[in-house]
Amino acid sequence: MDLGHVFQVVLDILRDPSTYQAMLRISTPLALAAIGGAFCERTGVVNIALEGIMLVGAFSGALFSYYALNSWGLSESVAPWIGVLGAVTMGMLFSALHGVGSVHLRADQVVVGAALNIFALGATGFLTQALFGVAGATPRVASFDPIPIPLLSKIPFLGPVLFDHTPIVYMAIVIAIGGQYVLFRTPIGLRMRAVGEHPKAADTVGVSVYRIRYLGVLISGALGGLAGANLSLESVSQFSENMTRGRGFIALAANIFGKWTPLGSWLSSLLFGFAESLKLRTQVIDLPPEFILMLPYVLTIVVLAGAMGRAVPPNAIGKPYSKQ
Amino acid sequence: MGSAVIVRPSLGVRARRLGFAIAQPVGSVVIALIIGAIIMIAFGFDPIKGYGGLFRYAFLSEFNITVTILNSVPLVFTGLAVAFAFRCGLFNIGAEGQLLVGSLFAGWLGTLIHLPMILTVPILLVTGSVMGALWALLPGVLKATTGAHEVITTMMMSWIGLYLTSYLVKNVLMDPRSTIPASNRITEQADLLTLDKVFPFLFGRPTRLHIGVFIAIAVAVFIWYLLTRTSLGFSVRAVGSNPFAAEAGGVRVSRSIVVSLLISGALAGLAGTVEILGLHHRVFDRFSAGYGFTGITVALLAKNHPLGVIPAALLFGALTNGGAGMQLAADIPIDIVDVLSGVIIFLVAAEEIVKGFGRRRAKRQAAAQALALSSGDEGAVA
Repeated sequence: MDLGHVFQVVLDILRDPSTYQAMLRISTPLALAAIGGAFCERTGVVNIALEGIMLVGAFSGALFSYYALNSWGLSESVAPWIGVLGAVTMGMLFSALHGVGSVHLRADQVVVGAALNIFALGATGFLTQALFGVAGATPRVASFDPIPIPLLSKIPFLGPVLFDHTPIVYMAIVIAIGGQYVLFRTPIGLRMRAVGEHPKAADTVGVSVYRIRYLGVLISGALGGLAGANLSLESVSQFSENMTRGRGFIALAANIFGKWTPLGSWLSSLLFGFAESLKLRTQVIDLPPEFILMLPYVLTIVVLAGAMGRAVPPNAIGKPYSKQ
Repeated sequence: MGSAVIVRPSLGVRARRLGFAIAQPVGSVVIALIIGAIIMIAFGFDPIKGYGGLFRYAFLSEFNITVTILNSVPLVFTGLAVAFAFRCGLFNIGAEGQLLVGSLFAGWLGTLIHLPMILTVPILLVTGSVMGALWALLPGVLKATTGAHEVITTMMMSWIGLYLTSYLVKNVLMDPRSTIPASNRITEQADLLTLDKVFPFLFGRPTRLHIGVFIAIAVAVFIWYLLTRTSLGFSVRAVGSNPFAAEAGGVRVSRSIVVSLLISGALAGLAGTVEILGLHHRVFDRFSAGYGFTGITVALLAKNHPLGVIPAALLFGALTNGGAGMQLAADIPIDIVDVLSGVIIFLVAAEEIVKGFGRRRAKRQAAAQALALSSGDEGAVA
């Protein structure tokens, strides 16, 4: 493969709007989970359970969508919305366990996160088989189709890139901007950051450290659940065992690279989304598929190596707080 | 390292600590099993049949005991790998990748060399350890220099290792006659001796148990010695309990971090190498049944004590083997084993639950005492 050819391939990929459309689509679960991670870690709770939360969200999304269509008699277009509600609710319930372990019981937050990841892997696999009778994956469920936005989606190049997506992809953009505003421009955002930086000081001025930390954990549960719903209701139309495949950890890296801010998390997720979108190009890029599959993971390490030192984590991150 | 005054706690205190260290994990396992039973009943499965199947498939019959022990051998190594890093305050969540990379290169070399057994086995074990350590080197260096969190970097290296070994097995090592992605037969000089050959008087017939069992126990004792009786182990534990104090006390923290992850990776590499040389004699694509991840559970259940890793590994060896029995006996999805693992780790991590009860009881006792005292006083005054 000569250099001219490589150049041509790269140029073709960069000029193709579908590259950027795929980037936005693939970055969505990472961005949502990463923003959730940012909220959680800003209050001082490390959340490596994102992987498990996403898995619970993906499973619940498929489950609720399935029952909505097949048992509750709802239509094909309403069912996935029930799935989203289920995913967010179950994500929050599951993350509450992280809150109990990390906030109330003051256990090692990383270990509790690891426990929840294993639990989620087992529980979703168990339930898939117990409820649907087959191991590995649920049946096909009602899922979302892209909703092109009238007029805007007709703009050349930008139209298909930005305005022809499934609902959760749009939601991620809104949440990134809204989340940035909430965390940095509202009183509750200030409280969250205060609790993550100096819980004692926050406690002294009357902020409930536990309550704020639970709030952070629950937000990560809601957004992680939504991220999971994107996988099982938009990327594909079913849940399959361990379908997150390490995305929760990549999201954590995106959160760090984005300096624990919602907007930064979203932007760095786009970078990972781009790396992953190359998987779709294995036909064009003359490399063994294994090496292309490796790319997001390699990129994560490179990005972390470059980001650290410059990115300063919240001061009280990972430290349990005990009120007297 | 400066002089340090070490106050040895009294025998009673130490006995109580040891009691707690054993009772808490055991209690966690029991509670997890009860929760498991509740889940089974909730989904219409029969827990008695299920646990019966588990027990039968894990322990009853020579065949099943053999499988249980063989399952637990790699778990001893990966459990030690995770535990060692934990003692330095590091969470090596990527032991799976280190295991795969270590054993792949050991196995690869094993298909190429022709040396007598006495040389082959040590050479391959060292190769597996070195390559496993190498796979943990980058996360160690990044942690020490830039602070990049090892949970993310070791996990990412694990995925990279998975795809790398998969590529190499399929494209470079693949035996052209094989129908599944597997390498050529590793030289027979590398086969770990089976126990019927070592102890012919104990085993009437051939067994699959191999000397890896003893290697695992020996390595566990060695790691215990390393951690508790050497200056390296002291620095590792010092960094683990308080890196700032360790730094102030003259321990080179970044060096300890890199060394701990190297040793951790080496142990993971050893896990896969012993597995391949003892059982498979070939390198398969993705031959590891998640030993690296189960190692996390094993280490946490053992409370990161190198010798505690042995019973913990046996328990999970039995659970993975018995999990299949639950599925066969009562149709219970084998994923229940992961559910139980998650609950066990959560309970072991949440020491406060137990301590909280203790504290509340102490408070109640104190209150009762105070009450008794005050009423006594009143009585005296009256």
